[in-house]
Amino acid sequence: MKRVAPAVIGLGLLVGAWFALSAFLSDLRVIPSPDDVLVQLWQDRSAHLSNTAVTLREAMVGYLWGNLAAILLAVLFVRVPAVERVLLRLAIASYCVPLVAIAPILVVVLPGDAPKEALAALSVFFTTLVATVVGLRSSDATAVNIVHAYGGSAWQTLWLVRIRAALPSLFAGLRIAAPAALLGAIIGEYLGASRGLGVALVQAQSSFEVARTWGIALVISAVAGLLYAVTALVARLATPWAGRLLDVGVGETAAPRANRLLRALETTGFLVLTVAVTIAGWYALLRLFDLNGYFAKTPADVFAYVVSDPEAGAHRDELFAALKVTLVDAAVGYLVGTVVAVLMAIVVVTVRAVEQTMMPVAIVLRSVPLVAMAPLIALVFGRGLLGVTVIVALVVFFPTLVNLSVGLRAAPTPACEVVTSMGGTPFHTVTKVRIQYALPALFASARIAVPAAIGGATLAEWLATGKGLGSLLVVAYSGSRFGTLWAGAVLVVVVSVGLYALIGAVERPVLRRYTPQYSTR
Amino acid sequence: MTTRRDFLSVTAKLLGGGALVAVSGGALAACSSDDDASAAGSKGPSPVTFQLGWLANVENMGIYVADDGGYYTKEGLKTTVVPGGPSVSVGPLIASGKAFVGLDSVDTIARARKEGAPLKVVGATLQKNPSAVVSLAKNPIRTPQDLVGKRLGVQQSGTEIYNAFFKANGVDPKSVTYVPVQFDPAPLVNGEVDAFASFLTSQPIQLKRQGIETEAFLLADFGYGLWADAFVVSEQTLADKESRARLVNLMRASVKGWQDAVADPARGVKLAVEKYGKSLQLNADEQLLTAQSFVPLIATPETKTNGLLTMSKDGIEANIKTMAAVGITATADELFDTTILAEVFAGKPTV
Repeated sequence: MKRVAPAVIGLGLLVGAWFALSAFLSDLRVIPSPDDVLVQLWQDRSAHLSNTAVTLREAMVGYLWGNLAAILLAVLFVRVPAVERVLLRLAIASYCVPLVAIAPILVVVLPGDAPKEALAALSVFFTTLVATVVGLRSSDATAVNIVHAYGGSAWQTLWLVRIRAALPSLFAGLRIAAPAALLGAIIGEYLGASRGLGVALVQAQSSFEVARTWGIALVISAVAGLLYAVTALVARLATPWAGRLLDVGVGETAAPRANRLLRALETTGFLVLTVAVTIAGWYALLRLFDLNGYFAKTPADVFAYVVSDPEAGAHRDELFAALKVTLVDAAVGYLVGTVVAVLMAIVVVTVRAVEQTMMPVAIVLRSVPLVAMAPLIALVFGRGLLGVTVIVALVVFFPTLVNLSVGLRAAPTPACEVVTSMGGTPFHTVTKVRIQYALPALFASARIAVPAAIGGATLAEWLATGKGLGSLLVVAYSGSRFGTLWAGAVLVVVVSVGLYALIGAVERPVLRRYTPQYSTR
Repeated sequence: MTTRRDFLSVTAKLLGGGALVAVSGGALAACSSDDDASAAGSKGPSPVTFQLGWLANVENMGIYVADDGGYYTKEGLKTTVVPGGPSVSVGPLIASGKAFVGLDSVDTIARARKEGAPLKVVGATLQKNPSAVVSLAKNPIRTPQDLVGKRLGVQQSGTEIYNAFFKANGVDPKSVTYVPVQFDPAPLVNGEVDAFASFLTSQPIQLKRQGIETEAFLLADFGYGLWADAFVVSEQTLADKESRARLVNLMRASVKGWQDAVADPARGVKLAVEKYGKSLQLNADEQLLTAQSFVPLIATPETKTNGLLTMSKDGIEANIKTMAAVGITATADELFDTTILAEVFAGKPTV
């Protein structure tokens, strides 16, 4: 009862705001009144039920395979760091590659419902991978050393220390993944389907059935929230130790750093290897499925498009001009989304009731498909930078909030008790202790949120502004300009991977300086 | 050391397993895309996939009538009708053989051809393009000239077309403000735009049902001569004797389906609402109104003499001229193949 009441208050506030807005803006007919939506929801119940079953099945299949692949790869990454250095960039690519570029290929090479499941899997793969790797790495260095000292093998370390330490972070990842899988499946249905919530949503929107559109959006939110809640419950039961760590690591002296030149050489070597693997895999896939060259471009085609074509200069100008717009859109939205999420996470950890009030609201906001919200956001916030910022910030906010609140909780209880026993408030435990322990989580969030911000910016550009890479790619897609589409997709991936590397470069010295108790290797 | 070697061998197995999965996935995909061709030699109906361009609403009622009425079966075909959606890409599905025939707009197919896609148009459902500029009745916009100084909500993929359309009608495109929209007409209703570029004939009817009176003009009435819901196939289908024969059969059945649907739209509406578009919760009254508004776009004076889905010489010329204005160069012989319909009709206006 104690836990349910705040959630009810939070959702009640949301419904109250909805009532007020729908009455206030009734002339515009963009926000239906809650009672209209409820009546419509009841009338449509049998259709919603069968459509939900279809979409949920697609989402769950994707969720299962995407997470399984991510966890296995994460274990491999931690165990054999060289693999990580080659494959991580590819994994990032899977996360930030614009869906319009790969959708035609998925639809052509995969049978039946598999393209929708694949999109659901792609939506969860990377976030779970990052969460698992961070979790496996966040194990206390002392504990790792003890197992080593007693002759434990690397695999024993993995089982005894790392997995135990990783589970809270893994579950944080799985929680973010649950609504994401649902949205992935819905986007998949946009590629063509006869049944499902995505199909119903498109039909309701295009025929201006506003109450029905909102009803479907509510169903989607409810299902996403339910998935989130179930994952959270499983997490609580499976990892009762989460947030109650008693060990305070004494820290590990940083390993002597190899000489700079050597490290630079090594980094370059791995980069070259990654590029080689990517290009080889790219060619192999095209050959394996024997795809028609008009929509499946090879690396050589992309190279020609931006470098050796007679019109390559014009192509580059077009792409870079669009990129500039997208980078500004993404950066502003990322900053706003992160600042809000950090503030919210601090409040959430300090005042427990706020979490139970705000989290359900955050989940609802996260899981409403942006395509359904876009006309409303554009109307309220305009189609300029403000509207784009709102969309990007929404995309960035949720994973950052979830990761950070878990990170802030990961601080060892004794350290927090030192603060409170000396008269500090829960807020002081945040500023003095927790923030240090949350730093790895902040970086983990950035790794997910920065590529997500670019994805959010392209989405906003498609839905609202008509400028930037998002718009360019969609226009290219609908005009069968696959050369532009692939070059643009490669550009998005390269920029996102570059930013990801930048986060890593900043992360290492910062974590070494402020959180020496974590083994950052 | 041992653990490391164990691990490596496990990894190798995993990777090997992964490769196996990938290969079998490929084999599966190959099977499904070969469906259309492999059954040609065997007895029994040949499976063919029919890819629609949009959701399964009444817009495709002729296909439902042909499918439900067993017209395809009678022609020795086992047809699967696959709906499209906002992000469907018909061209790649046809070019890769995953679908046997699809519906797409003529300009999209022409653009794909320019990129090297081996695609051809073999029939045209909508002889008059359904694209319309919709405005609110209290602020009506009846001609392209009325749009000067106004805000037009248009899909980003449509801006090039509208630029050409305005130029052809003596309107400076810069004098109209484009606002990017999708398929949701909310920006029109809430006043964010003065007019909405709709590619669905149904939208004014649906808005009316919601109590919103609208005004609309068809681009086709101002010189926009592109067919819509064109039947697209791959060049390979046309080159291969057996698959070409199957295409003739499919087109014959499709024409027959459309003849019946045009004669009795209520039958098509029933199929759309109760069978093919069941999960869309379509409204039967509204779908009937939509179907009736579609009929004059499908059955024109030209189709009375040449038969439905026809591609007349004049029509082809108008298509090419309209595309040239947008910068798409196409020649009649490259883009269109009229021999299939010629075989279907064999000189008569009906089948």
